Amino acid sequence: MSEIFRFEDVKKLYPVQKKQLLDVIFRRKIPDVRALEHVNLSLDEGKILAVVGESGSGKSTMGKIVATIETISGGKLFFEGKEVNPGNIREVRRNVSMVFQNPSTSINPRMRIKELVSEPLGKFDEKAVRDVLNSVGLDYDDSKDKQPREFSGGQVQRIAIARALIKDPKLLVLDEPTSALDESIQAQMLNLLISLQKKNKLTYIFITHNIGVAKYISDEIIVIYAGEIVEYGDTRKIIETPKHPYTQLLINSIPSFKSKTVASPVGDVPSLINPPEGCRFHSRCPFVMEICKGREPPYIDVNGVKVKCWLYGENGN
Amino acid sequence: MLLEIKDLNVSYKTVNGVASILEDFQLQMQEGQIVSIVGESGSGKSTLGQAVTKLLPMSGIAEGQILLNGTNIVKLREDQMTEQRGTEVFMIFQNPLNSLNPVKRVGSQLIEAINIRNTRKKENLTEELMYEEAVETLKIMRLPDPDEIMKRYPHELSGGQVQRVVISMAIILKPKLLIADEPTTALDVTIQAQVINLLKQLNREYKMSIIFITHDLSLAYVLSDRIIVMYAGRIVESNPSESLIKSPLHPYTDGLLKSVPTDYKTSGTLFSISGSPPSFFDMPVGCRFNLRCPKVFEKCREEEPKLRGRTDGSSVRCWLYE
Repeated sequence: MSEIFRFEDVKKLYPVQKKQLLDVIFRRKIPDVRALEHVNLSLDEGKILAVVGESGSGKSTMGKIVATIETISGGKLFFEGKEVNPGNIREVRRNVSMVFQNPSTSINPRMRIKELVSEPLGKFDEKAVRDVLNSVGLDYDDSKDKQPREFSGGQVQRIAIARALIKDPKLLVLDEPTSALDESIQAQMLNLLISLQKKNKLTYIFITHNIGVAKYISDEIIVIYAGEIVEYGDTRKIIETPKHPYTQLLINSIPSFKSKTVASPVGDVPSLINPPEGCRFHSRCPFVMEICKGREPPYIDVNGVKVKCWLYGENGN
Repeated sequence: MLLEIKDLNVSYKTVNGVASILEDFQLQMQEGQIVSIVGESGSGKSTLGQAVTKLLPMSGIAEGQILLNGTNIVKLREDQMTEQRGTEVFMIFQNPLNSLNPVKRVGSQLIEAINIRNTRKKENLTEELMYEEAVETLKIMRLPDPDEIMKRYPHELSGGQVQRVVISMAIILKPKLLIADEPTTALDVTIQAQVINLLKQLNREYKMSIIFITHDLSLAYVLSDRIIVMYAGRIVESNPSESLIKSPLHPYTDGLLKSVPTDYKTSGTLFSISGSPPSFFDMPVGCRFNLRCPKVFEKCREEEPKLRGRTDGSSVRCWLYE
């Protein structure tokens, strides 16, 4: 299977505020929010990669970088083996689409469905619109002249997916596509996404905070904490034997039908303007050691899963 | 009996006529109980919370009885209700910033709450004692640097911190009934776990009764003794949480439980309830779930079933159990 996407030491910084005249005169340095750092990963065609993490961890930033909505501040980005640069960015954009969390705010409420869905093509193609609406379970003749407000939340999300699929992309970035939907609609949506992926041989980057959804839909999982990947590997391995203390906490804090207790970790996510020295998780980690406070841990391969933690050092623990 | 709701109906006046949101709602709650209300958006679960705290919008009309310690809330005037709010019944909202005053410091708002309890219960606390108590409560909430937080404005705190400040108000006022309307939906799972454990602690230590409104069945299971499932403005099932999860009665509850993803995709397609919830202006005839129900039969399309109590303490609204 060939590789579709690769990140090489990608980083993304956002300035805290705009540079103003006085800052230029006095040569004041504007601090940066270090939204994403040290991201190395590659994704094979036809896989579903889930990105999980808390809000503010940088998971949406990662999705936007893949969809080339955001440019990177450092590192390299490859699409199908070619480095992404301003010259071939249109080619990348033809092959990558994005679906956002809240469908009613990501599509134009005043456009009719057939215009909305055909907009990415740049021209109206009735057959293409009919086919793509059909594939997401909507009837073309019934819905073509309606406006988004005439549909329920789940149906609007289907329209957003149809809009993303009409260019026949290879990669779809889905940013929390089911979080705004009701439980009973979420299951319909997950089934639809999986069947579309199989039929069109798509690759998904599925951003979610819901571990249950990530476990169900994905082949591989990335766990992000405070702008860094802390664990990356096969879904089954990560869910069954989480290695990083943060992943363990994350999995234990999810309510389930198996137990009446949830573990509650202490503390909050650190500020990304001045992230803590050493491991960024050390202030909340139950297994914190001296080395964690001073030195940043490297990525260590444990049984095929990449973990950024000192617990798995040279001593082969 | 702490709270008894009998035949509660809530409707809204709209331009399209009167929409009946909550119909025939019944609930009995003992002191120290935690009851969860589970439902999809538009099922009427938030309306229930607003009716109990008498915070319905102007167009809302509540009929029936809501007896809180014997006082019928539906009949109370606004000034009488103000006396009840805070120390008798307290509500936490989904967006905690809505419950705090944005132009006052966190500290002065906490002290205000202590002052209200002070006057109502005639405790005669001095200002220093009130300040100390506010700091102490923030410490119980495990907020870092409580003295620093007291000086901040609500917008300077993170979502999880603000929600904990609101819960610390509940600790200060020690209401007999706490209504939490999706208090964790806007929060991360790790912060959600903290809030859930805090609510459990409040219930254990102060015998506080809690009505927990949520759309998440697993969360309801973790927290509560009893779960009430609502669909399109009606209770469809009320059952102790253990038996609701193990042997759900109503087809809707069963469908909801099965549609929560818990396994890998290799285990097969996820069960899903077909269709979407009905609109309040276009309710189906008969059982309101009949268009989506996998076990539908003739009678469901003709007549709506009643909520029937069963011998094991559960109740269900379904023709399958008549």
